[in-house]
Formats: sequence, structure tokens, C-alpha cells
Amino acid sequence: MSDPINANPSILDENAMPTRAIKGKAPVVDRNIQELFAFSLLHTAEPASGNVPALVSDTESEQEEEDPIDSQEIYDLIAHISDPEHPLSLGLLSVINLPDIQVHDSGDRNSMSEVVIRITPTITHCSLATLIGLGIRVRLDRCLPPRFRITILIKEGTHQSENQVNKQLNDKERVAAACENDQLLSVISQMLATCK
Amino acid sequence: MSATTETLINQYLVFTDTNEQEATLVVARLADQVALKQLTLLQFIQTAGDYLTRDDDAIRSRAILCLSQMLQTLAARDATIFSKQDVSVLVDFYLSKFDDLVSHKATLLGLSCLVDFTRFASTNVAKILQTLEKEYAPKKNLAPVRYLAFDILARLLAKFGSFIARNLSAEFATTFLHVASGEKDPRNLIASFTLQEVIGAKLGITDEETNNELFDVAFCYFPISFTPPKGDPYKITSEQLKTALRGALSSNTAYAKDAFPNLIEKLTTTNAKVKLDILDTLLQCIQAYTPEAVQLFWLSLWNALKFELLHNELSMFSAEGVATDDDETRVYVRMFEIFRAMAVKLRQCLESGLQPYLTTLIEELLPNIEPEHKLFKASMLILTNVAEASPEAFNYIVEKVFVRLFEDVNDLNVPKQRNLIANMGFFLNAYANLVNALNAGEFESDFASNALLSHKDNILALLSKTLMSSSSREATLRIATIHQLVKLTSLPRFLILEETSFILQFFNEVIIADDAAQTCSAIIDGYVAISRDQHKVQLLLDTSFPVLMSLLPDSDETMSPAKSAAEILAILVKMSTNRQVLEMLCVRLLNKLEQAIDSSSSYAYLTLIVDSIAEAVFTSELESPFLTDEWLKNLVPQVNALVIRLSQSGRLPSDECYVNLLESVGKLLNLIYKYVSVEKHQQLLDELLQFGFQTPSADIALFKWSLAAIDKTALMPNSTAFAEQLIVLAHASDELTRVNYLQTLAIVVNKFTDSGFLTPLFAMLTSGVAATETREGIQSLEIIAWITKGLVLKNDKAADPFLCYILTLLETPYGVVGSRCLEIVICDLELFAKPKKLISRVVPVNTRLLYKQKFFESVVPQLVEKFGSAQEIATKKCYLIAISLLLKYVSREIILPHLTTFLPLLLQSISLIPDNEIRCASLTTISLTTNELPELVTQHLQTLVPALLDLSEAKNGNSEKVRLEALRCLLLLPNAVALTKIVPFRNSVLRRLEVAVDDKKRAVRKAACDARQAFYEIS
Repeated sequence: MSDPINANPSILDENAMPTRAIKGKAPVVDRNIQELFAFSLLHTAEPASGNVPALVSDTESEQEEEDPIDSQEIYDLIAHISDPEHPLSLGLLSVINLPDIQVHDSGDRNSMSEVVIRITPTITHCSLATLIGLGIRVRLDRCLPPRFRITILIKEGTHQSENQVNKQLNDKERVAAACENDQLLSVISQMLATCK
Repeated sequence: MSATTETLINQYLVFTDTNEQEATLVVARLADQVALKQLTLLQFIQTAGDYLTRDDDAIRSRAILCLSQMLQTLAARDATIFSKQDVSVLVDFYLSKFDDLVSHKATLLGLSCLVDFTRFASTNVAKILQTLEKEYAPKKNLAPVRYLAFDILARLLAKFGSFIARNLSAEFATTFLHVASGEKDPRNLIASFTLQEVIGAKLGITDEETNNELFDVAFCYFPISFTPPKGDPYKITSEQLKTALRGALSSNTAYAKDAFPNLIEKLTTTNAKVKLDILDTLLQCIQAYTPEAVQLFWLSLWNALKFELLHNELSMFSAEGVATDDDETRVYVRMFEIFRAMAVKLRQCLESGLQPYLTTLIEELLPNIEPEHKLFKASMLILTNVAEASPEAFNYIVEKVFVRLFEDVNDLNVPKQRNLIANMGFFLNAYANLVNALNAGEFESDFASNALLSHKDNILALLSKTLMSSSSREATLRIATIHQLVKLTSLPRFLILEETSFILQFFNEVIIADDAAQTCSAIIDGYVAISRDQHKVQLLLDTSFPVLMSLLPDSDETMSPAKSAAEILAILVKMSTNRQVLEMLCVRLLNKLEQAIDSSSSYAYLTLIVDSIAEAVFTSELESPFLTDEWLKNLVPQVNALVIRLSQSGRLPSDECYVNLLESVGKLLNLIYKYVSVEKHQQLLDELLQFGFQTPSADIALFKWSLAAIDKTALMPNSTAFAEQLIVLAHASDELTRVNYLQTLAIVVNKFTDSGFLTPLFAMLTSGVAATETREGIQSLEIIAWITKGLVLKNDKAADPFLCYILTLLETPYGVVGSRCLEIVICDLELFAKPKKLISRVVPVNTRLLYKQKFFESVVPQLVEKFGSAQEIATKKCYLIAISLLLKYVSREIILPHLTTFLPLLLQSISLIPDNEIRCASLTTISLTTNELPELVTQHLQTLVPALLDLSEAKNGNSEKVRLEALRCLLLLPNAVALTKIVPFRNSVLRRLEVAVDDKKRAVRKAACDARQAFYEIS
């Protein structure tokens, strides 16, 4: 890559990246008690004595609480993608911002869901916006279940040729063609290598 | 006599070249004869004379070599044997042989040995030098022969150094130039460079022409790029060559006018290794040459080096240290060192050496000293490194820089503030380094009123203002500020105590109000650093300790809003690295505990306080161990009193939380007792046994932990009866208390009983186990398991019948219980943990080093075999559960050799047995195998991959943990297994993981994404 297009972007502090806040305080675990119970044969043997736990699990898994896919999760998936020209992640460069991610998911596994992401290029004539968008698309294609439709848009008023880029990013044919290009794919591989 | 000599010489002529060992023996015998005066030199020459002058090249050169080697042996044995005359004759003999090319090796060897003889006269030196220069042709000889010529010169210089320096320096230099020019062999080059280093340093050659030639003969090799050839017998490294050449080049100031320009010219290289070599050489030259030489060249060096520094980000340097250690970083570090070395050297100049240098630096760099300037960091780094050189440099630079830094410090935006503060740290480091390098006298005379001190108020004001007025969201700025404040407190002879106390007060305010974890942890690190300073710890106790303590609520209903009690306790614990602080903490926390009990706080809060005390004691014992004998008098009774107070406070003692609290108190007591000196342990045990054992009581937890800390040599009277009583009490009590009694029993069996009483007990217990599973049966088995644990720990043979019995259980209806018994036997419990050597010399548990290995090696093969032969699924399952449970507790070194047998079993177990705990255990072992023995896993990919995929889906009762473990296992495969083996699975894995990326649990989805990404990258 020749001279960087935007040599001096403003950078977000790493601590300031939005993260999933720890839900409440962890309950005080009675570690001592658990340890004692763990070695009481009566305590552990009794429920098991009714033969092998004969696939009781269906009831168990129903009790499992569901974590819905939300915008923070999407953010965590894509915020650590590296920018193609800076040694920084898209999150740090504020190309991706939490409020610009919308998830429409009913939670029903049989109906379509959608993710809409609006990216903010670091400067209005950033020619790498399409590459960044493609990187995000590849990442999400790999990480989201197939029922999700992924829409990637340039945030309104942040790019000179907003419409063109939007069209290019959401054109199935063109995305598929791009993914056939080995060289492009290896650039994207590098961008995704920093994902956590 | 001479007949034997002749035989020996003949033998030598035959053996040399063919049988070196034999030849050496012959030489030794000849030397013997000479040494014992049985053979004179003359006789030898007469006998060998014919050979020495023979026309046949081979015979003649061998004969001379024989003489030379004999001389070599003699020189080592008795260097005084020859008279001055003898030596001179021999020297002349050898010198006359230089026209004989084939004998050069022998001739040079002979000469170099002759130098070592005591009576070798200085008159010979000139002759040898002359002949070497005129008649020896280095290019016609092989490398080992040429080495001998260097050797002669080195020996001459070592023996007649001052004589040569006075009379023959020019001749010596000429001869050396003749011998050294065109040399290529690495070993000879090292000899040559070493020699030249002495020539440059000792001979005082002033002739410009000669010095030019000397410089050239060495510099033509610079920079050395040398890769040692394979099988080099001398093991010469590139580093040795470089060091030797550096020594040669820096040996004489007269080389300066050639060295500096030439080295600077070479700096254009782009190879970091070469650049480093050049800089190292420059540095050494600056340090070795006279100040006047450096005075001539500092400007060109400065101009040559500054750009590279100014035009780089230097992101690896921060006030906290250097982040990386690669060649690039070293290049920069070396440049800074060069600037510093020049400042050191120029200071030694007779007149005005340093000032022009400093003035130039300031003139060029001062304009960059602005927080937003691109060259700010680089300029600061250069200036601080030069400032570190001497008090004069420091004062001058600090004066100039700080005046500019503080010019408009009041209206800086956040990035500027951050830049300013982070880079100011370099000066604080320079101050610390400089003060540490000065001795007390120098400090008083040169540095007591230094420039940084006069800016102290400014620095403090800037930092404190930044810390107190910045928003808590500016974490990096605040952290940088805190780091600098902490550094200020650590600077030698800088702050007065009141100022440190102010800083602590700022810290207190921030830590109470700020909830950014990293900011707080920076402050805690600051507290810890101050607590380690003997002079300042009192300040900490006076200012910070009470503030934090007052934030702890008396009862958990009145929590302070900003920080939870747990967080404050964690801070206090971290501060208690110092014993003084620790004891203060213990007293205060116990008082707090008392208040909390009286205000009926929850058990959780009480437990938290007790755990914090234990944690503090533990970490501070870890840091610097001390004895707790004193604590028996005050602290321990106070703890016991609190427990009694608690039991009288009218709460439900059967509450699980109460037991939990008692366990915590027990652990605290255990910790304290372990550090009571071993002599007091018998008395401690006697006192413990006063505890009432008539009725079952939850208080057994305290007794259990205390007993577990008692030294194993203490004696327990009536231990057998006591053990039996424990069994009775265990039967009669509720579930948690029962386990406590059983663990106490295990401790007693482990430390205090002899195994005699076990046999009848065994019979009694096993008879209580009925054919079908009953409560009584399980209770008996529990007792057996815990007794076995006590025995297995000390590798006692008495454990064998118990173990056999447990193993046979696996095929009975008690199978599952039996496998859990095995778990009890092998599990790691804090109660039986063997601490590293304690300062009290207490050994609280009777355990053998390799008991686990022994247990594992004897039990596991049986289990594996029986698993194979078992018919029923249920039985198979029991064995498998047993194996998985054992694996949980055994370290990987022990498992590793068994993995080959295990893996098939584990593969069966994850698909066969729908038990999540077993699946997790098996998956952990499979992960381990994948990392340690990928080849083994490769053989089983056909079964493993589908099994893992099955487990990654939320069906068949796979718990979240199982799904996670399975996905982690999958994630490992692409990197562990050969590409060709894993590629066939790529598409099926990618497709089937679509289910896992839609899992209900977020953590599972994340793991699935990672695994999928890893498989996508395979191609």
C-alpha cells in the first residue's frame, strides 16, 4: 500500500471501547460448602442412584437461559478487525460504533433475522471503505447463523460516494466474486487475524 | 644412550602423521631424557643431525618438528633448563630454516616455544621480527601454520611488552602488518585483532603512516558478517570476531580520525544487525579514545545519528521501560548510549568540552519540546539520555527543558496533557538513574540543589491538578499521571514526607470516587510500592489506611455507594505486603468483624472479612515469611472469642452459611498455626484436644483445620480411640458435619495413628455394606474412602486391602459410589496440601512426594484392563467414570505416557456415556492430547471430529460447558494436526458448526465462531 490516505486518524482509547458490562455482582459463592458437598457420597450418590441419568437432559436444556444475539455481540465480533492501513482495529478508529449496529432478531430459529451495520469511514474519500465493508461481511458470514441477513451501509453523510459503496457492499454477485479473488481474500484474512 | 635416542627419533619419523598418540609418547620420552640430563641438546642435534639436513622434504621437516615438539614439551615442564646460549643457538638455527618452506610449521612452532624459556634473551626479539618480516611468507602457508606466526608475536609482546614499546615498536608494527595482511581464517583473525588491540594500546606508536596502515589492516574486515562453518573445531562465533575487531579498532586514539568518518559512512546500511555492530563499535571507540578525539568528532556523530531517532515513532520506549528487545530497539538504545557516552567523555576535556555539545543539542531540540510536536518524544528521549550523563548535563538540560515545558501548561487539551506527562517520566527516570550512580559525596557537592528540585512544585502541581480535575473516563491520562506520581515518591532524595502524604491523599480521593478498574489498580500498585518502603509505610498507615477502613460498613446494610466492601477489602489486602501493615489490618478487621456480628450482618459479609484476613496473611507470608508465635497470645484468642460470640448471638447454627463461615475461620486458624514455630506444636495439639467430642457439633470445622496445621511429629495420646470416636460421631451427624468428621478422621489416620487398629475396623466396616445399595452401606464406604486417603498420602501398605476393596466395588451395585470413593482418595484438598518449606519448620501433612504417581500407576492399568473385559455397559461406565475422575486430579506429566492407551477409551466415553461431568473430563484430556501428542490424535480424526461436532450441539443433554469444551478442542485441531489430514474435514466442520453459531449461549457462539474461523483459514 502506498501512502496512507488518512495518516493521522483520531483514535479511541482502548478502555473506552464499549464492552458488555458485567451483569450485577456475582453471588457470593459458598465455595467451602460446595467443596464439602462434593465429597459427601450420600449427597452426590442419591440423585444418581436412580440408574444412569437416562437422557433427562431435554428438560435440563430447556431450563437454559437464552442469551439473545444483540448489537454488543455483533460489535465484539467485528470491532477487532484490523484496519487495512493502520495497525489499529476498526473499533479503536471508531469506524464501527455500537449505536450504529441494529439487530432485528425474533429469536425464532425458523424466521429470518437481520443485522444492519453503518460504518463511518475515517475520512469522506476513503477508498478502502469497500474493503472494510467486505471484511466485516466475511467476518459476519462466518460467525452468524445463516438465518441472518447482513446489511452493511455507509453512515449517512460520511462518504463522498455513499450510494455506490452501499450498492457494491450489498450486491451478492459482487461480494461472491470478490471472495473468489485469492489476493483479496488473503488481505481479508490478515484483517481478521486480530479478531478476539 | 644415543642409540636409544636414535631409535626414538626413528620411531617419531615413522609415527608422526600416522599415529599421533604414539608420536606424542616418543616426544615425551625424548623430553624426559633431556630433562633428566641424560641427553644434552648437542647430543640430540648430533643424533638427529643427519635427518635435519636430509634432502628429502618429508624426513627433514619431520625431524625439525620432532625438535620443536620436544621443546614444546620441555617448555611446559621446566622452562629454565636451557642456558641463554642454548636458546640463542636454537633461535639462530630456526631463523636459518626460513628458506625451507616445508618446515615452516616446525620452525614457527619451535620459535614460539623458545620464547617461553626463561633465558630467552631480549636480544633475540629484533632478530626474530626481522626474519619474520623478510623471510616468512604468510600467503604460502596454511591457516594453522599462519596461526603460529601470530602466536610468536603474541608471546613476544606478552613477555617483552615494555622492551618492545621502548626500542622496537616500529619494527614490531611492520612485522605485524606483514604477518597480518591478507589473513582470512577466523581463528587467525581473532589472534590478529587481539594482538592489534595490545599494539594499539601498549606500544605507543605515533607514526601516522604506520597507524594508518594498522587501522586499515583491521578496518578492511568491518563490518564482519560471518556464519560459523559446520564442524568448526574452534567454535568461533561471529560475536567473538566482532568483539575482537571492536577491541582492535578502539585500541588507539590515533585511529579516531579514520575510525569515526569511516564508521559514520557505513551507517547508511539498512541491515539492523550491521547497524548495531557499527553503533557498538562507535560506542566502544567513544569510551576508549581520549576526550580530545571525541571533541573533534561529536558534531559529525550527532548529525549522523539524530535523524534516525527524530524520524521514528520510538513507540517501544515509555517511561515504564522498553517494551521490546529486538535489533531495531537495540539500535535506538545504542544511539542513546552514544549520545550519553559523548557527554560523559566531553566532560573530561580540559576546557569547554561539554558546553558546546549541550548548547547544540538544546538549540536544535528545544523547539520540539511542545506536547503536540511530532518530534517531542524523540527529543525528550535524547535529552534525558544525555542528561543522565552527569550532574552538569542534567542541570543544564532540565533547566532549559522544564522552563519550556511549563510555559503554557494551563490550557492543554487531554492528548497534550497525556503526552506531556508520559514523556516527563523520562526525566524522572534520568534523575533516579543519575542519583543512583552518584555516591553520597558527589551528590552533596554536585547535585544536592539540582534543577529538577527547583521544578518540584511545578511538577507536583501539574500532576495533582491533572489527576484531580480530569474526567474519570480519561483512564490512560489518569493512569499515566498516577504512574508519575508513584515514581515521584520513589525518587531518591526528592520528595519530603509531607509531599508524599499529599500524593496519598489524592490517591485516596481517586480510589473512592473512580470506578475505572485500571485506574484503581494503578493506585493500588502505588500503595503497594509505598508500603514496601520502610520510611514511608507509616505515612500509608496514617493517611490511606483509616480512609479505606472507614469506608467498610459496620453492617452490610449500610454499604458505601462508590465501592463495595469486597473491593475495599481487596485493596486493603493488597496493601498488606508489609508486616507492620498486616498486623494493623488484622486488628482493625477483627474489630470490624465484632461490630458486624453485633449489628447482625449477613454471614456473607462476615465470611468476606474473615477470608480477607486470611488472604492478607497468606500473601504477606508468601512475600516475606515470619513466625506467628506472638499471634497465639492475642489474635487467636480474639478469633475464638468472636466465634463464641457468634454462636451466642442466637443464629441458626445448622445454617449452611454458618458452616461456610466456620470453614473460613478454620482456614484462617490453619494458616496461623502453620507459621507457629514447630517447638510449640505439641502444646498446641494438647490444647486442641480439650475440644468437646461428646456430641456432634458444627464447630468440628475449626478443630479440623487446626488439626490439619499441626506438625506431623506431634504425638496424640489414645489416637486409636479418638479415631473410633470420630467414626461414631460421623454416623450421628448431619451431612456437612459428617464430612467434616470424616476429614478429621483422615487427618488423624494420616498423622497420628499406627495402622494396627485398621484390620478389625476394616472387617467391621465391610460387613456393614449390604449386597444392595443402602444408606448405611454408603456411610461405611465413605469411612473407608477417607481412611484410605489418609493412608495413601503416606504410601502406607495398610492402604492395599482398602484399595482392593474399593476397586472390587466397581463391579457391584455400588459401582458409581466406588468410583467416587476413588476420587476421594486421590483428590487434592487444601486440607492436605503440602506447603513448601515453612519458616516454622512445620510439616503439617504426612505425604510422600510421588504418592500420586504410585497410586496412578498401580490403579489405572487395572481400571483400563477391566474396562476392556467388562461385559455390561453399566460396569464399563463405572470404570470409565473412575478413570475420568482420576484424570481430573493428576498432572499432565503423569498422564502423558498413558495417553496412547487412554485416547480410544476417551473417544468411547464421550459418545457412549451421556454424563456431562465425564464428558468434560474426557474432553480436557483430549485437548491435552491434541497439544502434546498431535500425531496420536491424527490417527483418530475419523471418530474424533464427528464426536466433537455432536457434542458441540445443544442436544443429548450436552451442557454449556461440554459444548464449550468440545468447540475448544475443535479449535485446536487445525493448528495441531498436519494440514493434509485436516483438510478433508474442513467443509463438514464448517457446515455443522452452523448449529453451534446459533447456540442459545453467547459463550458457546463465541467459541463456535473461533473454531469456524480457524477452519476457514485452512487452505
